Amino acid sequence: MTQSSLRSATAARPGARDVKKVPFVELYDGRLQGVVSSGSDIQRVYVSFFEAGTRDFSCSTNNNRPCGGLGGSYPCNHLRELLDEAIEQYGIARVAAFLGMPGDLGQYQQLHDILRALGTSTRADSGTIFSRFLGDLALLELPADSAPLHTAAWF
Amino acid sequence: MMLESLQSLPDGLAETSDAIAQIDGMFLGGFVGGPVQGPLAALGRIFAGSPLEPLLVESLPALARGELQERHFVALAAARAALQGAQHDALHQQALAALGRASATDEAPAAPAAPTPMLEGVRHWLMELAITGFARLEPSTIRSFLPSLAQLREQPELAGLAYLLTGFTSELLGALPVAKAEDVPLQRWADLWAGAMLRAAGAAQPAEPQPVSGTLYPLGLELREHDQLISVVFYALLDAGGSTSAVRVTRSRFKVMAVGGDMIWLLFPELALLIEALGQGQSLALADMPQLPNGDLLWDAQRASLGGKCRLLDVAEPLLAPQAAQAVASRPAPALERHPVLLAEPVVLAGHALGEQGLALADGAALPLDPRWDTAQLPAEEIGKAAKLFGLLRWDAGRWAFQPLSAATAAGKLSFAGQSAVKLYKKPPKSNPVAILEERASRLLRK
Ligand SMILES: [Zn+2]
Repeated sequence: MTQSSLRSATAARPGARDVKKVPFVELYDGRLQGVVSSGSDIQRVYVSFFEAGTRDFSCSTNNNRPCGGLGGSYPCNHLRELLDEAIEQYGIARVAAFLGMPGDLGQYQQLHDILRALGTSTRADSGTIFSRFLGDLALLELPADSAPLHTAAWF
Repeated sequence: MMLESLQSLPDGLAETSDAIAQIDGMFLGGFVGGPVQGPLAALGRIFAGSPLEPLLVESLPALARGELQERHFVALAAARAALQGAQHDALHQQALAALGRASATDEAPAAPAAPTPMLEGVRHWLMELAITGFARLEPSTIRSFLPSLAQLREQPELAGLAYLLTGFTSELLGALPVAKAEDVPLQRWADLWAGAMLRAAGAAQPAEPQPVSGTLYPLGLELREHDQLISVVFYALLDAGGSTSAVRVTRSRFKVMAVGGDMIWLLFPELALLIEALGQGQSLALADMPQLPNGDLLWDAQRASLGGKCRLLDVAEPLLAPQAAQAVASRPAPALERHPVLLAEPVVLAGHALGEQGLALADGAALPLDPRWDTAQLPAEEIGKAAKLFGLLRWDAGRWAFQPLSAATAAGKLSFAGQSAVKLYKKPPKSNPVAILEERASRLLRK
């Protein structure tokens, strides 16, 4: 009798995302992944991710060329920007839990707390992340509609 | 007064909830090797003599024997929906009696749903979820469905199902794998599953709208959203052809998670007029606005213009207060909308006080506040000092509650859920995330 049809916890409201810098970020399939704009070339984007668990990271162009800013043991600026915007979008608690940060999750209060406890640089194909980005953008191309939408009552 | 009567539950409601919980229990561990025989037999007895009996006489024993066919799962979804429909009707009658409202005459039954090939895949996937059981689902089962879901979103007539499934899959991906079976929000996921299964049984023919002209008094709005959906529902009174009725305006869109918070209003430039009317206390003049037989308006900003200034809640009180002399009639809900969570009777309250337990009403009755209340935009302080409140009488988790949508001070100043939209439409941000992403989309998706 006391069961509810509603969502139990109200999700943290997303903060002010900078979509010009980071048009896409998500927690999906064991990765914090997304797309970061190039600082210099409007045509170029970087596809970057952090792996949950190992906390290894990767950054490359959408043509699968490795990012020049990625030295080995420390993430490039694209990865920092990606992480920063993920925290803005999901809140740091959810990001830290998703990445499987070691120790008490309460100690991760800001970007640098996570940056200090990362793995090392790794390589993987960026194609699937880029197509997730295109799929995300396609949602904005769908028209608004005026029909009553009762199924939305569950959200 | 009559609102006190909402404290007691309609006859049979608790027993029906138990029967629904029995069904939901089967979805936790799945239909393979799970203990499903007992609950299925009990369910069959409930429907003896009902129109669903012939269907269930075949399907329930088949499921119990492990014949896991799609049509049997559709029958199970129908049985569950019928139980919730009965609860909805009993609760709706209770609310109408408490508010002193009559029920408007029933609509003609909807035209039968047409078979749609794309929906076969949806039903099959839903069956897979049921067979596996919510507690044992793997994320890969959800991810494998995402390409079909993207195709479903391209079909305007299946939008309701696509919005539902987009939210459900995203919620499942965030929660799986389930660590403990007790963590599963069982009734909620079973609701989403059954709602999707029934809508995937066929696409219903949309009703024909008729043009309507008159004066619209917007009273408040409600936002419903998940990471990829935003849906705005305005509740209003429409004065047309010599009579006044309660109506709704809904606008919905898929969105991306990066567009959240107040920025969602940038997705709906066509709603600026409705927001302005609410913000300034003005009516709207409608000319030939399309209206569905159940009262819902299909918003077209071209057919609306700002009307005279007025105190919106003062206009609404004589029609929407409990036991009002000129009480509006409540429209019965079509079959797929008969679910207790969809009950939303618009009400104007005056002379209330706000305490720990919720609202203490003028006549001594108490009404808790509904968790759907937007406390950020309409804080408790505004509710406490308001002379009049507008909101919805809602049901969830075994009790009635009030969801405030707007609050008017004694001087007539209106605060409302969603009021940050006023500022956003007046002065859009220099960096508009919707425009930036739409520009990216048009460059990347069409190159
Ligand atoms: Zn980089």
